[in-house]
Amino acid sequence: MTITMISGVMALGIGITFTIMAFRLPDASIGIPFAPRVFPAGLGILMTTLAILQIAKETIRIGQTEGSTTRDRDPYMRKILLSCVFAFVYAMLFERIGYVLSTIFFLETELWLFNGRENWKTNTLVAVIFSVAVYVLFSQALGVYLPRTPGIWI
Amino acid sequence: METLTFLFEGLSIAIQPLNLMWVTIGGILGTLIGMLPGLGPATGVAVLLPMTFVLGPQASLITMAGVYYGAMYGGSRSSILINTPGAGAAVAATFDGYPMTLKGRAEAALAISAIASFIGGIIATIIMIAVALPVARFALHFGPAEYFMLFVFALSATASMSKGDTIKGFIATVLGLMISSIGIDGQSGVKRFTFGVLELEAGIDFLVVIIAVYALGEVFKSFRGIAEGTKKAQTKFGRIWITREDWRRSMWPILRSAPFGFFIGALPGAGGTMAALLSYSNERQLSKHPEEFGEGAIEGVAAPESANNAASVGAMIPMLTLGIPGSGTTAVMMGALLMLGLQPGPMLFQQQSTIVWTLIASMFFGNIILAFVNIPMAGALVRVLAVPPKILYPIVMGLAFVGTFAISYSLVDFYLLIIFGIVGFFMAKAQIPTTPLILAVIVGNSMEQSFRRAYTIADGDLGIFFGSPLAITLFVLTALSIFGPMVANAVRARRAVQAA
Amino acid sequence: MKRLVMVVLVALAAMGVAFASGQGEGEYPRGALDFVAPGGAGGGWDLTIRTTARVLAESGLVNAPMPVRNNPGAGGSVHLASLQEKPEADDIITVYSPPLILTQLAGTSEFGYEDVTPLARLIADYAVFVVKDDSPYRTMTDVMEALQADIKGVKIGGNSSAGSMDHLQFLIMAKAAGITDLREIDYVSFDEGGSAMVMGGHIDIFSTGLSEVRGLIESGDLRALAQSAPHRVGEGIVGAIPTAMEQGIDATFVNWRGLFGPPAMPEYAVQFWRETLASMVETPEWEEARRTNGWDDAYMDGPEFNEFLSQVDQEYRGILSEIGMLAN
Repeated sequence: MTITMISGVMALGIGITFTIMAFRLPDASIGIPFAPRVFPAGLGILMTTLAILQIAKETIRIGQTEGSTTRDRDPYMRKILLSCVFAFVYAMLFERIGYVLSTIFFLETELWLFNGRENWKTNTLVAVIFSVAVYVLFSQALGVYLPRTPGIWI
Repeated sequence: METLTFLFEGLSIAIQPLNLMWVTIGGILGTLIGMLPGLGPATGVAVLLPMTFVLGPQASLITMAGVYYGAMYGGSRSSILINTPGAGAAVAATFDGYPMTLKGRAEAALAISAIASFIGGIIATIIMIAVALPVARFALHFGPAEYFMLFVFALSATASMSKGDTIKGFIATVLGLMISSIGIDGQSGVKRFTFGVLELEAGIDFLVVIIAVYALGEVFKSFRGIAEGTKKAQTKFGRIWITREDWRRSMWPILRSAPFGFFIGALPGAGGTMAALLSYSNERQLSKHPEEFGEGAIEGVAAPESANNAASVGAMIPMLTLGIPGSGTTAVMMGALLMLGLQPGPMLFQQQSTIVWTLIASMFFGNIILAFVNIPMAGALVRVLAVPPKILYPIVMGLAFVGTFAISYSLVDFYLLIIFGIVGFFMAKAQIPTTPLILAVIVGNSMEQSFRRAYTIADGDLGIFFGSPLAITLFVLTALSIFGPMVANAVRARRAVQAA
Repeated sequence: MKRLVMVVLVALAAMGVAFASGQGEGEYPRGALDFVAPGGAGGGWDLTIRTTARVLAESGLVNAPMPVRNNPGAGGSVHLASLQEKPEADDIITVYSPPLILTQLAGTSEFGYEDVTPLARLIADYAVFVVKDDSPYRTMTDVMEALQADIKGVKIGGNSSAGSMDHLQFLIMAKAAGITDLREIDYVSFDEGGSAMVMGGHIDIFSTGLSEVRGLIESGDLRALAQSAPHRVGEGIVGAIPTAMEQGIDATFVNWRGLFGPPAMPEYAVQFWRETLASMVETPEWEEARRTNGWDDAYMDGPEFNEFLSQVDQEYRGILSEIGMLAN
């Protein structure tokens, strides 16, 4: 499957799901009852149509250039996925252990992915300086609230 | 004549050293705040709001205006350098600004952005002095039907801009509209696609989607570039300036975009983001080399920068003359005016003319000072690119998250950020353009709501969408934006055939 | 070297203990308080709680630091939900207004006024109903008569979504004026800038707060048909706006704002804030702040305020069930 084909199939999935969900939306109690559904349902149908067009077009294209169904896999997919996993962990830690600690953890992991484990000294330095500096700038200087670590001043 | 007298009075107050100092301080602070993703002009002004108690009305308004324009300047700095727009209005600066950086032309991009912002701001201020009141009155003709047509125009202009694959461009648009339909439907109170998540009821903030698609998408892409050695730190830096050729290409786009941006800004609710995106697509259509747009065309930075700064001046008009805030930032500024005991509205010009004209005059000086401050500042900022990408990108990631948190202090936005980051990355892989998605997320909800408002007001008569000269004009513009490029292409093809 | 490290560690631990126990003793409030605006910076809630914090500090009534935090989302419901996780906190002070009740009734929030501790009602704003300067409607009664003749003939606009404040306050008036099919009245919701729509003649009447349109009323661009206060509020032209009651529509609508604590706030803290806020509203600083912001004095002590809340809850409930928007 080519990436265009995959995106077409995904768009089809989104289109159909969205259409079904749109029709299941509740009635409006004032005005026209079906009014809140019209726009989303239209979007769902439009997406489905576009996806079918896309798939058809791609099928024709593949038919014309037989055999060239090479799959372009990003060799760095693993790093990207790991990056997302760390980001999820970061989000979960964020309010529990405070901005500074969670950000040090997050940057440390991201830097590990980018900069390599062997450069841990630089990584730690960057992570700590960034976290503290951002905290001081946002929370202290600008008055933008960032979660504090329980029991510690920062 | 009376206006001129007031203007000179305002100028003479604004040029007092102390006031010049305030506008400079405000401008620098604003630039710094604007550069941080998630913190735009509205937050900047809100953060400095408490100051208004201490400084007194004139100085505090002047400082706030400085912050406002500074943030507009600053927002595009991070767009150009790290593909992370500081605020909505700076999105358009990523389209060509970041490609310029990738080509080693960050200096020119930063310079043209400051120059264009400066000229746009000055032109808009001059227009404002001349026609503030008539423009405010004219903007009142925009009812829900006209707004709907305006949004349709914006969407079609952007969608037709997407290169190559039209189907993919439309898929991106529809996906964006789907995202924008999440939340409470204002006209009926019905909750749509919120899945019981409280934070989704107010809808998904478009800034989250922008930061995700641009900043995170870029970080994900960079793994490959870094490993393969195509992405390196910049070691040599030039002067922050532009070439004669750059100026020749940018001059007209800047001059055209300023009055245009000003007017869009003066429409309550349309705002700087719309102004920037529309002027970008205008210039692309007018250009002789539309294929260079998105690849680092300097006029692609110049036009939206001029337009969004002009729009920020325009947005002051409904606030000052009618007491109607046209944007998030002006809403906060209006709160400040109220706290100072000034009642924005038609009477403000009469009762408090000195303050109003001082404010207008300080926009003038503010823009001049900001241009001077920003060029050396850009010289320092561009050194960010000397940081090796393998350290810079994790930092961009950190900034994206803290900026997202600052938008609405919600962890739900974190998860959305990650999800849309993946979506953005996948779209780039599948060569689906992201610009139509972003614009659709920005205008989608207003577009649907405007339609429904007009529909209710007209008791279901669709004729309302063609019921005024304004609506018809916008309809014609929409048709032109869709069919114009087709005709132009056909003409070009024919010429090529004839030449051959 | 090792010894030195040990000494330092012990010293740090001792300081930590001292710090922690220092927090446990002494009078309330100790340490920084946590003032929360459940909406964004620059909004009405934000303005109220920041002003309160400032007045409390300036008048010397509270000496502890009172930093203000914004925790916006879903009309204040996000913060309301997070309050339930710290029911016994004694340091969280927050501000709310009618959406506290409305979000629960509309089903946005599972919590409502019974899930917070009312400390005091402080101020009030009132609704005002405005038309364009050349509108045929001269009084609120004209509007109601027109609606009775043709329920779809008058388009009402407001800046909040359907079922929330701007919508509700008009329906309360319509109900009192004897209109029965409230559900049929067309309400158009604008996110912002609804005043531009009424000025441009796109809607017939605009339901909003007095402070939002004061300037346009004074300049004569908009004409106010009625204010929803029980008595005329304001000075000059604004003070000349007749109340709905004067026009024979027996209804009021108060956009109250008050301070609240978490649901199970300890008694000593509740006591402290009731007394402190009672003294605060007497200070000249507060008077000055009210005047510059155009807020009407609406002070009410905690228990009385609670009583008031249960009354308005019933009233809102009635209207929302008539238009079929009552969820809880």
